[in-house]
Amino acid sequence: MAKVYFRGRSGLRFESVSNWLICMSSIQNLQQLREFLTVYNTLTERCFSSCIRDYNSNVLNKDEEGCVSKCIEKQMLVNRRFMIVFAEQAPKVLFKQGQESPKLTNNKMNVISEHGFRQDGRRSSQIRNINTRLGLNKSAEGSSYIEHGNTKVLCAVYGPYEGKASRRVEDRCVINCQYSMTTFSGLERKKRPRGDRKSTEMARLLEKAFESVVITESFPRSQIDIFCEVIQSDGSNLAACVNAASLALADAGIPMKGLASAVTCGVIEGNPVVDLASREENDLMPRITLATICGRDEVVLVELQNRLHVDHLPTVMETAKATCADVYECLQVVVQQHLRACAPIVGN
Amino acid sequence: MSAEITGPPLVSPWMLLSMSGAREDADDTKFVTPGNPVSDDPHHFMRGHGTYIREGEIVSSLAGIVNQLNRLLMVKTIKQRYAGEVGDVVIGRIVEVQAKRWKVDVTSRLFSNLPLGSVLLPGADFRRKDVDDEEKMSEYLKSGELVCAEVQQVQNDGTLMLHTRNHKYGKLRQGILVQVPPHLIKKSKVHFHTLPYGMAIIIGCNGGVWISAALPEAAQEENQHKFHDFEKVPIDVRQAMVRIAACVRLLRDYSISVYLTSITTCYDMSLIHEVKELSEHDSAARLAHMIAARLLTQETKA
Repeated sequence: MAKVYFRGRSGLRFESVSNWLICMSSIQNLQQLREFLTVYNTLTERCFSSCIRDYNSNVLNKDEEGCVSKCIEKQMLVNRRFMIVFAEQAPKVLFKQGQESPKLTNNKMNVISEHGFRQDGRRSSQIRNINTRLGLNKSAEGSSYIEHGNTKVLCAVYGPYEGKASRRVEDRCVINCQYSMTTFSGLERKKRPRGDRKSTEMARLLEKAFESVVITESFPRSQIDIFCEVIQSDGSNLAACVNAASLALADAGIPMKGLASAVTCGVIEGNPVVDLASREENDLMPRITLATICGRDEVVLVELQNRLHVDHLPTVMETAKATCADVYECLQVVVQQHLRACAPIVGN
Repeated sequence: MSAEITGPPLVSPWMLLSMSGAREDADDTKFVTPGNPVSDDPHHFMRGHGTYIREGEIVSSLAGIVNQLNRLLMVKTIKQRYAGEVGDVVIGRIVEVQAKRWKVDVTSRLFSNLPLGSVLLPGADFRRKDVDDEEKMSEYLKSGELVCAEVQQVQNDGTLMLHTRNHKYGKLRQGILVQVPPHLIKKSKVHFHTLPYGMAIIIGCNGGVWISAALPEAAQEENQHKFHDFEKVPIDVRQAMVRIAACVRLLRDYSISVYLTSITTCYDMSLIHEVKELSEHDSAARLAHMIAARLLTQETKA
C-alpha cells in the first residue's frame, strides 16, 4: 500500500487520483484490489520513468506536467480497452477451464499473466526481435552488431594473428575474449570496470564456448581476439554476446564447425520461458543459458543461475535447444545476405 | 532531455553500393554459412579447403562461396586474413631485429621472416654476409620501418619467408602507406606501377598500398652511396600523392577492388573535388557510385 502513495515525488499528483479513490471504495474483493494496485503501480511507474527527467526542483515543470497527463490519459484508454476485451473473452476462458478460477501465485503474476502473456506481450516461447548489422568496424577482421529486443551488443574479432608468446600454443590457436558493458548500459549510470569478477566470468565462458566452435587446429601458434561490448543491457546478455561473436567470426572468415547460437531459458512453475528480459531476470527465477552449433544437438555452452529442480531440467533443455535452432535460422539468413553484399566490385 | 540509444544505420553505404550494382552474377545457391552441408556424398566428392566431414556429409566450415573443381569441393571466403603465396609482392613493417633475420609484420597470420642472406645490401651485389653485416643489420632496417619484399617460401605452419634480392624490393621511405583488406586487391602480374603524375605505386598482395614519388629501384641506383638521405619532393607531386592515397581509401571504404585501372579512374574522376572532399560522406558516396558504374560498364564492354 505504501508503495502507491510514495511512488512518485511529492509534487506528482494526478487529476484522476480522486476518481480512482472513489472506484476503490467500491472494490470489495481483495483480489480485485490487488489487481487494481498492480495496474496503478505499473501506470505510475511507467509515466514517472518516461516523463520525469529533471530532479532539481520539487515541482513538475511544464513539459513534465503535459507529458504526465498525456501518459495517464493514454494508459487509461489502453486499460479501458483491455477491460472491454476482457469482459468479452473472460467468460469463454473460464468456461473452458471448467469453472476453476485461475490459480495465481506471486511469482507467476509477475512474469506471466493469467492469459499466458509476459510483461512485454510475448508468449512464453517467443523470442524478442533480432536485428543485426555485419562488417561495421573497418579496422577489425570481422565485426557485428546484434539487438535482441533492447539488448544491444557490439562485437569485433581480430586475428588470427601472432599473439603473446606467453600464451602461444604450438598446435592450435588461442581464443581471447573480452566482455565489457558501457557505463550507460544498465538502469543506472555507473562505471563498469573491465576486469571485474562478473565480466571475467562471462569472458571465460565465451572463450570456452568458442574454443569448441572454431576449428583451432588450422591456425597453429596464433591468437584470435573477440571483444564484446554490451551497449544496452536488457537481459540475456551472454546469449546475445555468443550470437554476436559467432556472426563476427563468420564475417572474419574464420573456419568454424558451424554458427553458434544461444538463448536464455527460465522456468516458472515448471514451464519454460524463453529469451528473458531484464525485468524477468531480476526474480529468483532459475535460468539456463544454452548455446548450440547449427541448431543441432551439439551443446557448447551451458550456464545455470539459481537453483533448478532436476525434474524441470529436460524440458528446459529441450525448449532451449529448439529456440537455439530458431535463432540459428535468423543468424544464417543474416550471414548469407551479408556475403552477397560484401563481395568487392571488380571491373575488368 | 530523453536520450535514445540507436544502432548503426540499417545499411552501410558500402553495402548499398555493392547491392545496387550489377550483382546478378552472384548465384545465391552457392553462398554457404559455417555448418551448411555442401554435399551428402563424401565418396563421390573430395573435401577441399573450408570443409569438414560431419555424419557422412561434407559440411562447410566457412562463410563463403562453394567452388567445384572436378571432384574437389572447396569453400572460399570473401574476407579473410592474408595467407601468403609464393611470388606475392608484400609490403610489411619490421617488428624485430634478430640474429641473422628480421621479423616482418605483413598482416598475415604469423610474423614473416626476412633472413639476412636473402636481402640485397647496398654496395656489393651478391656476396656472402659476414659478422660485420650482422652487426650492421639494424643500420639497414630498424624496427618500425617499412619494407617491400617477395614471398619466397611458405612454411608448414604458415610462416612466410621473404626475400628482397632485387633492386625493385627493399626499404620504403618517403611515401604513404594505405592498408586495404586483402580481398579487395585484384590479382595481377604487375604490382609496381608508375603513374603519369610523376609518382609510383606498389600494390602489395597483402593489402598494403604504397604511394611514393618514385619507385625504390630508381631511387636506389641514384643514391647508393647516400642511402639514408631524404630528397625533397616538389609540392605538386606531394599533393598528387595525397590525392591518390585518398582515392585508395575511398575505394576501400566502398568495397571496390584496388588495381591500376580503378585507382586511375578514381583519380581522374576525383579531380573536380578537393582532396578533403573525398573523405566527406556525400561527395564520396556519389563519386563511389560513379566509379563503380564506370568500372562495371568497362567490364561489360570488354
